[in-house]
Amino acid sequence: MNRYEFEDKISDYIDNQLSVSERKAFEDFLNSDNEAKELVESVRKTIKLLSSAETVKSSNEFLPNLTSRINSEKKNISKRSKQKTSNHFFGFTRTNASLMVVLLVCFVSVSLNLLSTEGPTIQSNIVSNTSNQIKDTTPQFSNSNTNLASTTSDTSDTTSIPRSNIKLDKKIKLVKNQR
Amino acid sequence: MMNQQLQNLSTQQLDMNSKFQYTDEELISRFQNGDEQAYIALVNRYKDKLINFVYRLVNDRDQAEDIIQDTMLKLYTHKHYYRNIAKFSTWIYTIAGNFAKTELRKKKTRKVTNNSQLGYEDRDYDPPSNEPSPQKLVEDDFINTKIHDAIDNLPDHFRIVTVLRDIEKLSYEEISSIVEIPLGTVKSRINRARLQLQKDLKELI
Repeated sequence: MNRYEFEDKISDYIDNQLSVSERKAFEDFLNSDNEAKELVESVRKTIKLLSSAETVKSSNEFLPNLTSRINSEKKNISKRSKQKTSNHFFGFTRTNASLMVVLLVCFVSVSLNLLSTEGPTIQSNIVSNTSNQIKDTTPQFSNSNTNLASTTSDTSDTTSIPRSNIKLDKKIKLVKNQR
Repeated sequence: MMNQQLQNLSTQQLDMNSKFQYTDEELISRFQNGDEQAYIALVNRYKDKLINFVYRLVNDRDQAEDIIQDTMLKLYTHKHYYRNIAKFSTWIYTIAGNFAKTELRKKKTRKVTNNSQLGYEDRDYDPPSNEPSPQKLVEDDFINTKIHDAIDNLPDHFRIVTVLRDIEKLSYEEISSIVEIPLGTVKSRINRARLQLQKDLKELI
C-alpha cells in the first residue's frame, strides 16, 4: 500500500468499511509509518469535533408560521376545488356540457322522427303480409283436392301436401316444352 | 383545529413521541390515513435535525428555517407521494436537500451578501441549561465559529455529504439515496472532505 492508497482509505477504515484483507494491509501500513498514524488520529478527532459542534434549533415562531401557511394552503385548496365544481356540470366543463346537450337533443329528435314516420308503416306492412299468408294457407288445408298451384301467393307451405295432389302442368312451362 | 394542536405542542409532549414511539414510517402511514397528530409528531421529530442540516448548507438560519417550512408544507400537501419503499428520513432529507440546493443555486446567481452571513456569533441560540462560565462560552463560541467556517469553506458537493455523515450521522447508503450519487462517490467525497477539514481545524485538535 502506498501513501495515496492509504489516504483514500482513511474514512473507510474509521467507519469500518474495509474488508478483512484491506484492513490488515491498512494497519500494516499504519504501524510502519508514524505520520500516517497521526493523520488517522487527527481525522478521528476532527470527526468528533464536528459532531460536537453546536446545533441550530428552530425558532419559537416555526410552528405558528407553519400553521398559518398550512391554513392558507388549505383555504387555497378549498377555493380551487369550489371553482372547479362551480365550472363543471356533471363532471363536464361548460363547453363540453353544452356540446353534450346539443348532441343529446339531436339524437332524441332524430329518433323521435324515425319512430313517428317510418316506424308504424313498417309495422303495418309486416302485419298485413303475415295476415295474407295466413289467409292464403288456410284454404289449402280445408280443400286439399283443389288446385293448389292456383293460389296467389307462392310463399305458402307445400311441404305437408302429398306430391301427387299437386298439379303444376298448366302453371309451369318448362323450357323443353317451348322447343 | 390544527392551530390549537400545534400551539399545544410546546407545552405538552405528544403521546406519539413519548409513549408509543411510533416509527417514522408508521407515523407517515397514519398521516396518509388522515391523522394530523402523526404529522405534528413528524414535524417535531425532524424540524431541528433538518434546520441544522440545511443551515450548514445555506449558511443562513432564517433561510434554513424558511426552507424547512417549505419542506414541512410539502410533506403536508404531498403526503401521498411517499411510498413505503424507502426510509422516511431519506425522503424528507431529500426534499429538504433539494430545496437547499435550489436556494444555493439562486444565491450563486444573485451573489448578494446577506447580513446573516456576517458572523455565526451574531445569531441567537438556546444556551445550555447548566450555564457554563463566560470563558467557556467564549471558547465554545470560538470553536463553533471555526468549525462553521471550515464547513463553509468546503465545496457544495463535499459539504452536503459531510454534514449528512458527520453531523446528521446518516449511513453511507442513506446519503447515497439522498444526494443521488453512487456509494463509492459518497465515500470518496466524505474522505476528501474530512482530510480538508482536518487541515483547516488542525489548531483545534
